[in-house]
Amino acid sequence: MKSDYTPVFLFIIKLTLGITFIYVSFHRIADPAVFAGILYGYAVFPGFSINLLAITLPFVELVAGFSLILGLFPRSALFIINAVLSGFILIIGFNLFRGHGFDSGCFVFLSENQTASNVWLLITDSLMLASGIYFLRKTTAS
Amino acid sequence: MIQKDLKGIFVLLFFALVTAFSYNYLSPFGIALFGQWEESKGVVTTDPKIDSNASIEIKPFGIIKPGVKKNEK
Repeated sequence: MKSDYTPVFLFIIKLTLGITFIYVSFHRIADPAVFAGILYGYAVFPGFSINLLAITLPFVELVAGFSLILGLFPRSALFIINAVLSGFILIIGFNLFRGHGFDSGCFVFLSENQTASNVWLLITDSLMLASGIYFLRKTTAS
Repeated sequence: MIQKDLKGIFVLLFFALVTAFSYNYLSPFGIALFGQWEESKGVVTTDPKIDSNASIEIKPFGIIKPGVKKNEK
């Protein structure tokens, strides 16, 4: 069932996901060395992959964010965004579960209380993933 | 539909990777492709060529003035 508000809701989701990904990627692109250190702090990636991830992941996020907002391959962009979000949710959840402290590196203003900010980040990432999956299902239907 | 999505994913990822490596190569903030992230080898760093002595500043040498020959003059 499609209500009158569905297009507006999808537009809000599109803007939220797109702008969030673009915003987050800018910090990482500006200083890849810092982002590499943050990836190292997650303690899940093998050493050889950290620099490569620090170089490439921000641009994948940037391109996916712009692609979603501009409407170029929107479903493909959603697949990438959902995959990135799923990866972060798994890593953050795993680290919270094993009690490993880390800096998420996503939003600078959330970093005062590390554990609380990481729990909050897990919740927001889960909400964004849910909205991304909803958006993907809706674009499949149309 | 799936083929179109896959094609889109490849296009976006290709564009992102080419841009990322180009930017990293040209940017003054670019980092090495492979870092040194094994604590057992010492300091962890994005640049494997830098070690713990990297903080020692080596000042550039000035131009050495030509010496005066003994039998000159």
